[in-house]
Amino acid sequence: MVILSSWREAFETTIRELELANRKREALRDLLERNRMSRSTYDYLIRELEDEIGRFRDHMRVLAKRMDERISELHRQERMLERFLAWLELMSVGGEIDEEKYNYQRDVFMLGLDATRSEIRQIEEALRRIK
Amino acid sequence: MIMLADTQESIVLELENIGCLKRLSLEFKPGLNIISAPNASGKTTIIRGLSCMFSDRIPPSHVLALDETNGRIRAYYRGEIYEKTLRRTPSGEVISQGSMLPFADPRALDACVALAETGVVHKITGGSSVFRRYLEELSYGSYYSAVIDAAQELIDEYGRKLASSKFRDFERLPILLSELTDLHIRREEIQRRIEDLKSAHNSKIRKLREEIDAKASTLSREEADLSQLERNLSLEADREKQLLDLLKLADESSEIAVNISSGISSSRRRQEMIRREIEEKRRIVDGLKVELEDLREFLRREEMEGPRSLQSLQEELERVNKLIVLKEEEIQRAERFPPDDDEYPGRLVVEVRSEILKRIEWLEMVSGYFQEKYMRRMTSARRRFNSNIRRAFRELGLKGFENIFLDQNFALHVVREGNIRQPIETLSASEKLTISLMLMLAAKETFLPDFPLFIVDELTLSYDPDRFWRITNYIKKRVPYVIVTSLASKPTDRIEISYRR
Repeated sequence: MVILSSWREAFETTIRELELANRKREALRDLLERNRMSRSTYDYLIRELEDEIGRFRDHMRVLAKRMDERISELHRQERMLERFLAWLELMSVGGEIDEEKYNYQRDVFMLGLDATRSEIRQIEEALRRIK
Repeated sequence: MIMLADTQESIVLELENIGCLKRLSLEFKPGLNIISAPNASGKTTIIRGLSCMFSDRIPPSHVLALDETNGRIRAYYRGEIYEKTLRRTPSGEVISQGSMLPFADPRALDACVALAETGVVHKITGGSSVFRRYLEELSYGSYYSAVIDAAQELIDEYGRKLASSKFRDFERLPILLSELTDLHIRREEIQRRIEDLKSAHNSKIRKLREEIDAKASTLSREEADLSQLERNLSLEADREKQLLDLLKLADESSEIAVNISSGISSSRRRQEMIRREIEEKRRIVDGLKVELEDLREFLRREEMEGPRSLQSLQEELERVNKLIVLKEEEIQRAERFPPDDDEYPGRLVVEVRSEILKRIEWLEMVSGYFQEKYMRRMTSARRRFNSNIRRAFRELGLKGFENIFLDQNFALHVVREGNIRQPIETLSASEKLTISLMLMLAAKETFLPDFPLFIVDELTLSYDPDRFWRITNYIKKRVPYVIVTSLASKPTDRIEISYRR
């Protein structure tokens, strides 16, 4: 069974917003360095921008925590699916279920396991991007 | 007529052409002063006259005798003389001038004089807004309210200014910055695409050159082979010629001639073979030359024209660069007022904005300070009133009341024994009057604690003698001079004053 997660959209959005805010900061510095903006206006805008970046970083930290929790949950799910598979193998070897049923259930469990592992990899990859 | 005071502590009041009184002199002593006279004999006139010496709230026209053009009020207090003269102008207006008693305070008329015309009972029956206004005036709360309102008005005005079109462009700066960032991102994308395109083109040119070099090398090899073949053919032709010359010398039937003839045939076959090879080689060489020429032409064209769609990308890049310049100019315009601005010519908006915000902050602080002061005063007045009225009812021994208090909204609550709330309107006249007097006394003790007088004009008519004495004694314990007017108990045409310490 695959539990749909909500971290991905929030993560992508926050990363995008954070990158955009950093780009704005670069644009501001560029304007200041080329004397296209006064120091006072720069200070005013950079303060607001730094606040915004700070908020995104805070949000990112919260998100990272949630993603860590999600990884733990997915590892639990992975172990459970592995146990199910082992149990299925035993049932099959013991002749308790026919081959057709075994194959069908095995495919289902494998699908869930693949999806779980894939999500774990994705989250780990995402976490590497922000840490 | 001057009547000298018994002691330095007395207040002597002289009235001349005041109200219905031509001339009158009265001495008020510390303690209770009871002025007794029949109706319409001048009791209220005396109170008005005395009030004129400590408050300017009574219009002079209400004091000067109607049929007189000049009048005078004089007070002797602690060895000093205080005098006020009243004069009717030809236009009928009455003006007054002179000095007032040293403890004069315009608020005293509201806090220390229970005249029917000061609406003493109305202050409790008029509802919370009336009482709140009464306390506001006594505590200078109205002054604080005016300051608070003025500060708020200025805050609103500054707020409107900050929201005006002059500041709107500045407020758009974060948006302009976002737009500029978008343009930067777009420019980088185009630059990247141009670089990719150039890199792909260079790679293509390099490959073409390598191909040309390889082709040229092949051609050169093939041409060398061709030359070799042509040399071989020439050698073979020379050999054939030599064999033919030998054949002419040899006997035709001899074995040598046969061998020579065979050599000639062999040489001719070889020549034929070489010619075919030469033909094939020439075809290859010609083909290679054509291919090489085509490749060189293609390379020339590629080098001349450059990558396809590069031009459109460069045009796009140029357009974006122009937009960036325009956006930067827009940002520069937004951060500064125009040089011809009527208020802040050429100044930085952020600095003006900061100044205005500082003013707003200061005004909010002032407003908050007065608000707090106002609330503190009003709360203090309310608490003092609640405390005093409870004490008064306890000391006066007024039966039947459990609690009388003002709530936070300055609404008066009367709680009868058994925790029964009684609407103010249903109180008896004497209860209303008693509560009103206690209210005034609480207000006086709160806001004018050093004011030495408390005056009650005929309102005590509602009281039986026992309650009258209890209330006046209660007031007397708290105020140095208590002046009470009363209807004379026996027929008389004189104003009499009696004292009780």
